[in-house]
Amino acid sequence: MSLRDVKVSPEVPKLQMTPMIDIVFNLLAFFIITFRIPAVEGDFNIKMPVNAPPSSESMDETVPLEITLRSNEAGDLTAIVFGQIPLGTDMGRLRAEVFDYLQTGAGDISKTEAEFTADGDLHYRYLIDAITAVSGYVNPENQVVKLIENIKFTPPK
Amino acid sequence: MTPMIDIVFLLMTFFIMVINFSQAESNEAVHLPDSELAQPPETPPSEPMTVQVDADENIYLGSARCWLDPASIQPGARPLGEVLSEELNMKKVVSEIRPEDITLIIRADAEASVGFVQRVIQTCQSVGIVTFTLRAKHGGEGFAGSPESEGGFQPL
Repeated sequence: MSLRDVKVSPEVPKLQMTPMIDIVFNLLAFFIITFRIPAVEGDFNIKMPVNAPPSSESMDETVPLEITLRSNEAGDLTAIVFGQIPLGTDMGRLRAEVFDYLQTGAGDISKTEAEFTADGDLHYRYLIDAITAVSGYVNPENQVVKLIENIKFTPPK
Repeated sequence: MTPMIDIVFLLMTFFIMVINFSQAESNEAVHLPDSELAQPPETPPSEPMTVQVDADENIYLGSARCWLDPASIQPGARPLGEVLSEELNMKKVVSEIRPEDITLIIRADAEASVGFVQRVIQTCQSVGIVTFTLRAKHGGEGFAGSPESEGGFQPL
């Protein structure tokens, strides 16, 4: 019998799937564990020019609305004062006052500036609530209505 | 086996597609205050720089940990003004970006104190930064409500 007659069955190389599946499952586990639904974040612009004169001395035509936020030692809000009007701790009243001020035509939105004076201990979330209250609101049609966009802080004492 | 691998690969593709690298700048220790008006800006700032302040009033500028008061010095932390100046100098040399071109994004924790955040702003002002934005998280428990009566808001 010659060698030519020997039938050698071709050996099909077997693909090793197990390591690949291991790696894929590890990657999948990593992605599932680290997956977070990203929170939507947004910004409030504030005007803080260096060495700016106080609003009363500035030569531009901006109309400052003074908003004072008072706190206790624990950092909780104890009082909101809009100009000279005490509003308790109700942000809704602050928004209503700003709304009424602009609605009556006493102030031009583009030239009106909200100037915040806050106690140092106050928690930052109350300041953001107050900025939210004067910046605008979401109407029943789910549209954002802008009120005052010029926000400023008085320097800390 | 094949259908299972198909599904696994589809899941992999989904997670790879939705992974959000922009969240890499956010600090897990900082819980932003909520606001119904917080929406992502239509045009993101061209030269942003982010300062983060956590509830314990630790300050982070990028990966650098900073302090404001010598009394609150912690190991590995450096003065905020010094770190800012270095960053700004590097930006000026590398890309000719001036401090006035920078938009400083402040990501402060809801429980941080306003006075501390204002002092951070003052320190940033002292190195020439003039544009600031306060970052908040959309929705949640923040103040919400509409003052509208019938007819809506119509400024005169």
